[in-house]
Amino acid sequence: MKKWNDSAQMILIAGFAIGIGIVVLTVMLNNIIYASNTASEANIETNVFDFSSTMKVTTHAYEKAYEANSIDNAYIFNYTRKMAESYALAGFIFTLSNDSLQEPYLSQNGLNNGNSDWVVIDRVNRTDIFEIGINTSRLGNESKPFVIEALNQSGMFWSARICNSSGTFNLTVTNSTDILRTENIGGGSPSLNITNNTPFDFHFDTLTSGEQYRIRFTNGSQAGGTFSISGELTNGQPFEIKRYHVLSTTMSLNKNGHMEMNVTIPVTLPGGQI
Amino acid sequence: MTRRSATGKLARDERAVSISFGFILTLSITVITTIVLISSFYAMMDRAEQTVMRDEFEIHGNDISLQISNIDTAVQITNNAGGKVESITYQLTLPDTIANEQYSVEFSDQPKEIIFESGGRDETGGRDETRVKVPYTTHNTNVTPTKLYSGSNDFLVHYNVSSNMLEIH
Repeated sequence: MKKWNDSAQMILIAGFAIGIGIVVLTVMLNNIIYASNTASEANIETNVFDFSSTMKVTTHAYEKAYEANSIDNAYIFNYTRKMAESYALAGFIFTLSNDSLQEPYLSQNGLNNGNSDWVVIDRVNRTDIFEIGINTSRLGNESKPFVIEALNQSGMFWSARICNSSGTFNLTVTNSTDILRTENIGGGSPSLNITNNTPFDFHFDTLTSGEQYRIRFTNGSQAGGTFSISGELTNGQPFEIKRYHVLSTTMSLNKNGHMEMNVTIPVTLPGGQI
Repeated sequence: MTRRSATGKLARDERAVSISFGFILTLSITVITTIVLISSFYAMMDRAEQTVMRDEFEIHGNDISLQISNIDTAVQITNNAGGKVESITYQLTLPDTIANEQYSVEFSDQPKEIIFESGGRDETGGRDETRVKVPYTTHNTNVTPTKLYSGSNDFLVHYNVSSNMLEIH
């Protein structure tokens, strides 16, 4: 009888232990389920690098589509369709539009609000062709002259300063210290061939010979015009930069209404390879 | 005489006292133990709730921080290309409540931090337990200091072209 009593106590204790165990397990399990249910997914869109490469590819597409002073619209249409298709897979809607070709300024991006002072080409060993056409109706006055400079390690050693001096369009060629020549380039859109010394001697070839230099434009937004420059870099690689037109292209990316991005990029054409 | 003998009998009756006293004692111990156990589990649950909340705040904070950096980089890329940003809008999807609590998101410009705070208070009455600060970085743009409250799904990060500021509303 006593044995049975002892067993009953054990059963009771065991019952309590099991009961408490169940309570502990339930609360802990509930806790875990609760914690995992409250965790939500983050909505991360990594689009910047895509966007950067899209801008480069689009610029390149316009350079390819530029033919004989016009844009091959079929090429751009095809490009837009292909880009829209490839972006559609990632959930993006890609659209592209552009303005008509315009006469460029000599600023960095080809627009009159672009960066005025900029280096056209760095580490030049030799310049074979350097032609520039100035639209004198878009030329700044004496306080803001358009300046082309060749600079080496010591600083400027050749420059051509062009400005509108009360209706007279003067070009002044200097070396690092002296004025070498001052000429009236005439109205309209005179073409200056700096390497071929047309219409007069620019002293560019003689002064840059044997030098390693860079070519810089200052006050580029104060002058409308075109240019073409080619030659050889110090590493022996050829370079060629041409600017005959500028075109504003508007790119738009839209992802499920969550993200919308509209940017306008000027593309200088036909561009160049460095 | 009868009363005295009854009192004496009750005093001597150890068995009955032992059983009822033992029962009350056992019951009391059981109840107290159960209460202590349950309240400790509640405290544990609260702490787990705060942990989950902080984790969630960090996840969302890092997400927003990344988007701000993305927009800033996109502006920089466009500017470097000589272009102009017409508009950039990003819709933030934040839950109404996190761990069953409303919360606020504050965008601070100095220092550049996103501060999450839960609407609920912890047992000490303060909010430090659930306050999470996530830093963000911008180089070209600035973020307009603002404070958002959960409950709306339509939070927008908008790049203001004229002021060069990121506005969040």
